[in-house]
Amino acid sequence: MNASLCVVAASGLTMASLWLLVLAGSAGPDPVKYSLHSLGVVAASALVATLAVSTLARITRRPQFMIWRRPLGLASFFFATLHAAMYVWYQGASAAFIAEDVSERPFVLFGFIAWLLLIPLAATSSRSARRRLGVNWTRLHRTVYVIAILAVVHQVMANKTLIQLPLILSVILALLLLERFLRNWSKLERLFRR
Amino acid sequence: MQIRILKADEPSPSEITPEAVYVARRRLLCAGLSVPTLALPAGVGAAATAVQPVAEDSRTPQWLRERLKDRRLLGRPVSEDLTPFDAVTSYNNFYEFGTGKDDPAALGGGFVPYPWRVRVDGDVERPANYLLEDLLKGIALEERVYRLRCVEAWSMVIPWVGVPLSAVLKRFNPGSRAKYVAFETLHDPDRFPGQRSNLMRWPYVEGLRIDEAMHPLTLLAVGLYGRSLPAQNGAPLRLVVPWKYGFKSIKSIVRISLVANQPRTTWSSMAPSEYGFYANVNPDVDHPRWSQKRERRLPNGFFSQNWIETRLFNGYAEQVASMYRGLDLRKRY
Repeated sequence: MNASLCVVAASGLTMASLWLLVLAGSAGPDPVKYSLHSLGVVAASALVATLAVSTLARITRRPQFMIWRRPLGLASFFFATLHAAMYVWYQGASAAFIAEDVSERPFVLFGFIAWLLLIPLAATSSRSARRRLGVNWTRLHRTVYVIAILAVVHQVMANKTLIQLPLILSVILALLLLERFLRNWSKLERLFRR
Repeated sequence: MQIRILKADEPSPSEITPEAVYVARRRLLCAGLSVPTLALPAGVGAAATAVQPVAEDSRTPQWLRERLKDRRLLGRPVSEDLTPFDAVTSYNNFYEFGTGKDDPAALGGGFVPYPWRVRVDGDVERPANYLLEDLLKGIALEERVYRLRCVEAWSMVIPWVGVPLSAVLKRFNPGSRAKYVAFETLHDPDRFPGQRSNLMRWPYVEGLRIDEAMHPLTLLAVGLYGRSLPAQNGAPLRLVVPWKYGFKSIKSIVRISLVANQPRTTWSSMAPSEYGFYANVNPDVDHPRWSQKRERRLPNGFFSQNWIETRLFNGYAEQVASMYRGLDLRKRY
């Protein structure tokens, strides 16, 4: 099964259905806001799914799952970029309002930083970049944890109350981080004892 | 001939002239000037007539249908288009049904709010539970077109049908200790599925200062677009305070209390830095997470988002600003 092809097809279907909803008027009386939120939800979900790949591969002892990680990560970047573009469109492409938002409102800033940090990861996603960067590639790609936390906090803060979906994503992310923490605990312990 | 230029906030004559009066005037004009060339072109004056009523729900009781039919038609602001019925009834914040904007419309279908009782208590004469029809008895229903500005920076223009809250409160002769009016929404998780979660403290509580409650713009609505309120819009009885953010306009009211102290209202106690007790529409006081300087008039399109500038007190400053003289609107947001 070609993982990249599957993710590309799923992304295409997601975009097509969103666009059809907007065209049909089923996106409600504020279609841009609807699209903005939907794209953000897809981006954050894809990011959490990216982090779940290695955990799943470890738990099920099926390393072949790892082929899903890069396409999912790239899909997350793709939807985060559409989300950012939709935000600019939502603000009527008004530089003044965007600047005010980013500078005065932490949740917008968090989202913006998360997207900025995703750029170098997407840019170094190729096999050749990975070979070229060596151990630095691993170090660079660890920023994905910071990005995921920023993205989920951004999503929780964007809502008026703790509603279900952001809450579910936060819990999954917390479990994924916990799994990594426990797995590395023995290493950390040795480090501290030294 | 005197030509009056209306100020922006001033109600147009068509908003405050009862239909019977202006219809009679027109008949007079037509009778006097029945020369064909002087006949009014079709559509002129149409702005002053009532909105076309939308089909009534089959479960609405007869007494309410009759009351709605007899509503006084107070016209509409001339310059702004009404938000279509479909948008008004499909995009709602009513967490009693769910947090999604489309949850209330999707889940409200089975909610039949009749018969409905409202408890009126506190510093009043004859505190008791009243049937909705008795509460409204003898008070003329009015059609009023108001702007509704949500705290989330979107807005609509809605033709409500209701009675001035003051007319209802006056029947109960509020005493001198009645400094505030507190309102409560029905708490019934069987009928309001959203109340099964502990997202917020139920029931929803809102409140007004007594002078705000007695203000002629403050409406107790029982309908919109000439029909009874759909469940998602707060059936069968809701508050409409057009110069305040939408969350002040509490839905599905079962209790009205005249009290001495400022009530602990739901949003302002959940997130006091984001939602104040007053919640007057104010473009100069931003919400911590977004700007309040402008708003999106709904419905809008993907390529036309209808950003418009938000006005102080939602454009009703001339009528309400005097109540807040000396109040620091930045601190008492």
